[in-house]
This record gives sequence, structure tokens and C-alpha cells, in this order.
Amino acid sequence: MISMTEQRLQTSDVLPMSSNVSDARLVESARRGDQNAFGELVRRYEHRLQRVILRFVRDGELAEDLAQETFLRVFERLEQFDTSRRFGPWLFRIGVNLTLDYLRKCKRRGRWSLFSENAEDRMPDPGTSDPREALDLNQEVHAVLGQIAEKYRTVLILRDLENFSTSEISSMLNRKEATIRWRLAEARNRFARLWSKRQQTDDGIVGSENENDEM
Amino acid sequence: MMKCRQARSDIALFVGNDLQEPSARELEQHVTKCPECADHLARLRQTIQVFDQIDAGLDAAPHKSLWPGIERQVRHMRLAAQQGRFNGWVPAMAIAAACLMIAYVSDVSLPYSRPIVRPSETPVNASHVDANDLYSGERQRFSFGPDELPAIGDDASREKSESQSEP
Repeated sequence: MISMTEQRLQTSDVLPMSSNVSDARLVESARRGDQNAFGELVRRYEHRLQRVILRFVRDGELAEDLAQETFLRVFERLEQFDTSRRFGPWLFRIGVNLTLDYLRKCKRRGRWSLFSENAEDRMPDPGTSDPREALDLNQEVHAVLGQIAEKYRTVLILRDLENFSTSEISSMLNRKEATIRWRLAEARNRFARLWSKRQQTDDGIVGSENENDEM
Repeated sequence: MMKCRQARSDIALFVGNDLQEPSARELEQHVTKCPECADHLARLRQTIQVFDQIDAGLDAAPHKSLWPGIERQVRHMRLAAQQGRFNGWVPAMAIAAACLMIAYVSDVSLPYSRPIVRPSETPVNASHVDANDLYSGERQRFSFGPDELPAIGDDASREKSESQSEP
């Protein structure tokens, strides 16, 4: 049986789904109960959001779960969204914060690198003479990124791997753009220093450069 | 003249096209005069190129939509919210019904409680309204004239009943 509310939605509030409909209109429609409008928002952003999360967690299934959780949180907070602002940065802000919270919890429990099902996070095979031989460029870069403090790494990933502008990152992380630009410069310099050290040294042990404890 | 310390920070922004125009021109001038900073610029440019070479497979990965799973959850959330609203109405309605009942019962019992003296009905000299006045009707029912005295008891009791009948 279709309720009166649903009947009303079917006749007047359901937007014709096309790429011309703005995010703000879709949000307003979703607030009034149009589930298809929210579905359109999900379809617009799910791929990009999953990719951004994947940059941080390096695990496809986990990225999928976190992206889904992000959309559910967005749905719960839809009333709080200011439609005069852009929907994308707001969504990514929730997604990135959720992901960083998840990683912090894992770090506190100390199980991320030890018990992760992701092959890239497992300890290197001791049978290999130089552990770095088992790593490809992706893993090398992410290993170096992992040595940079979170506040710099986050900005570096969002800017240089995901091509968000500094202004978008500033709305995502709720920091002034000047702060983001300063962190970005610092992150690139730190990455360059660690990267050249890793390329030059033979043993590949750069534990003393690890910055993760300074957070 | 730009200092090298400031230049290092600007170079890191410059390599990613994140340095705005006046500062960018100033940096370019500095780099032409400072070989150390020029070296830093070259090294940083080379380093951040690795970001373009990694995770190439991310976009090519097969992608299934999250919407079917999210839609199910959203429907459950909506249902739970509706039930929550209903569950809120039930106690509210019960309280309202209880209040109505109390109001009704107290209204019905009012005539049996002490009489209400409204301002318009207040006697001019309200201080004279006492219990004797309120029960004067009852008293009249049990009063007797001098020739209607009941033939019970002795004279003393008769006198007592006479004194009680006096207003």
C-alpha cells in the first residue's frame, strides 16, 4: 500500500534525474523524502569518494565500506547541509574525517600493519635479501608517505594524488587555506627529503625519519 | 631580496602550480641567482613526478555501484524514524488522555466540594459568611416552632434544642 506521503512524492517532488540537476536541488529533494534524488547524489560521487578513501586505506573492500558509511552519515545529516555551499567538499570532508578516524583507531589498537588483510601492508618476506626488491613503485611511494605525519600526508594525498585544489582541501579539512598551503609546502619538502634518502641509502632503514609520532 | 628559507617553502608550492603570481615571479628571480635553490627546485620537480606514475589502475578498476546497499539502509533508517515518531505519539496521547480524565473527574466532583463564591456573588460584608450561614438551610430543616417542640427528653434538653434553633 502506498502512503499519502509517497503518493505526493511520486507526483510532485521527484526530480527528473539528469546531470543538469544541481546538487543543491537534489539535496532539497532528498530532504523531502525523494530517495531517487539521494541515489543520484550517490551515483555522482561514489567513484571519486571510493578512490580518495582508497588512497588512505589501500584496501578496496574497506574503501567500499567506508564510502558506504560516509553516504549514510551524509543522509543522516542532510538537514544540516547549507545548500548555498557546494555539496562535494562537504561530502569529502565527512568521508576523509571518517577514514582518518578509522585509521587512528587502528593505529591505537596497533593492528593496522600487523593484521591487515591487504597484502601491501604485510611484513616483507624475510627470504628476500633486500625487502625493497619486493616493493614496486606504488608501495615505495606509500611506504614513504606512511613516514610523514598525518596532517601533512593528508594534504599531500588530497592535492598531489587526488588533484583537489587547496581551497577545496581547506573546506574539507576545515582549516584556513593559508594553513593548507603551508602544510602542503612542508609535506612536499618532507616527502622529497625522505624519498631521496630512500633512493640513496642501501639498507632502506629510515626509522629515524619516521614522523608519525609527532602528531 | 628573498631568503633561501622562504624560497624553499615557495619552491614546494611552485612545483605544483600552487604559488600565486607575484610570489612566483619573485621566486623565479631568486632561483636564477641561487644555485642551491635551483638545485632544490630541480630535485623537487623530479620527486613529485612519481605521484603521476602511481596508482594508475585505480580508475580502470571495475566499479559496482554502492547505491543498492545504501538504498536498503536508507529505507531502514526512514522506517525507524517513522516508528520513532509513532512511538513518541503514543505516550503523548496517553498523557493527554490521562489529563483529560483527571480534569473530567475533578469537574464532576466539584459540586460536592465546598461551594465556589464568585466575586459577583460575594456578599457585601464577606466577613459575616461563616459556617453557620453556609449550613443555614440544613438548620432550618431541623428547627421547630415553640408549639412544635418534640415531646422527647426533659426540659433541659428542650431548652438546649431551643437554643440551637435560634439564628
